Amino acid sequence: MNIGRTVAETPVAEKLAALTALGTPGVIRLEPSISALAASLSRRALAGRTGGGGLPPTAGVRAEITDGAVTVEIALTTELGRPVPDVAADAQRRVADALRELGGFTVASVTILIVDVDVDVDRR
Amino acid sequence: MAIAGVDDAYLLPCGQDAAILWEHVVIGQLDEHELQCPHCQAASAGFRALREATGELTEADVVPPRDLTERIMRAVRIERRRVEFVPLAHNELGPIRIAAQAAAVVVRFAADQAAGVAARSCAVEQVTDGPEGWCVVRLEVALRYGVDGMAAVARVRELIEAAARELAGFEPARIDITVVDIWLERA
Repeated sequence: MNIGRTVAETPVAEKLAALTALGTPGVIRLEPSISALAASLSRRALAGRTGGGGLPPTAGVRAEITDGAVTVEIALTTELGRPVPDVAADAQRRVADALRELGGFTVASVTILIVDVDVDVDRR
Repeated sequence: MAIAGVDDAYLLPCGQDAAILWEHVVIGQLDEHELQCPHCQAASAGFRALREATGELTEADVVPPRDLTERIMRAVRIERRRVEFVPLAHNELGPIRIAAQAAAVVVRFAADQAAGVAARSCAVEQVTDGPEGWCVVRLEVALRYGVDGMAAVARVRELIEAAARELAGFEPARIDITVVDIWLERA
């Protein structure tokens, strides 16, 4: 059977972008805005989830699908001592590839915002 | 960024202390400045949303995440950095930008590598009429007593130039360094 359509929605794009960005060498964490953090906490409360597992990893990523193409903006922190432009460009390319190859999205743009540079405590 | 002396107070771009604004939001009494200032208005809107969200967490009898307070305060601190960005690149996939204050962290880190130098406050600002990614750096430093000041500052300038280009990704069009203190190393 090969009839019907397949649609991937915005949360899928956000999760793909978040997980891929976090997996990029030199990316320490995503950085949600206050309003995104609040929205994330609200969703968590309404879903009645218990704590302990941290917040959803997509806080810090905004995706929008317009005319079938996805636009993504990612705010993140990179590791101090690594070249910011290289890490950012790597994350940007990986996210675009993941959206296309894993999600089947047409990618309009991937904006990378570096909002902090920090030491990676896990590697100290 | 956990460097002493930076971001210890959660100040908004207008200079208002975020903790004080939070208290005013909680009691529902914003002062005259807070009612008119766009930075305070934006932050207070976020605080109200956070307050509602954390209230829902309480009402829903949900165990809040262990790192909730840290996440909230971090988001408040980072919010200040979303105001001013320096463009680093714009390729076929889209733009890459660095917050001016994140670029300043890289500059401070570089300056601290010079022997006998401790970086204090730092600001990085895109040159108004210059090409994208060209910035003015303003740095305050303290020198260890006995250090050759001119040589140390020259070394700081070299380190900043290299770090700006190679680590942060911007072009330092101008570097202003002010020596603001001398410190004595204890034996």
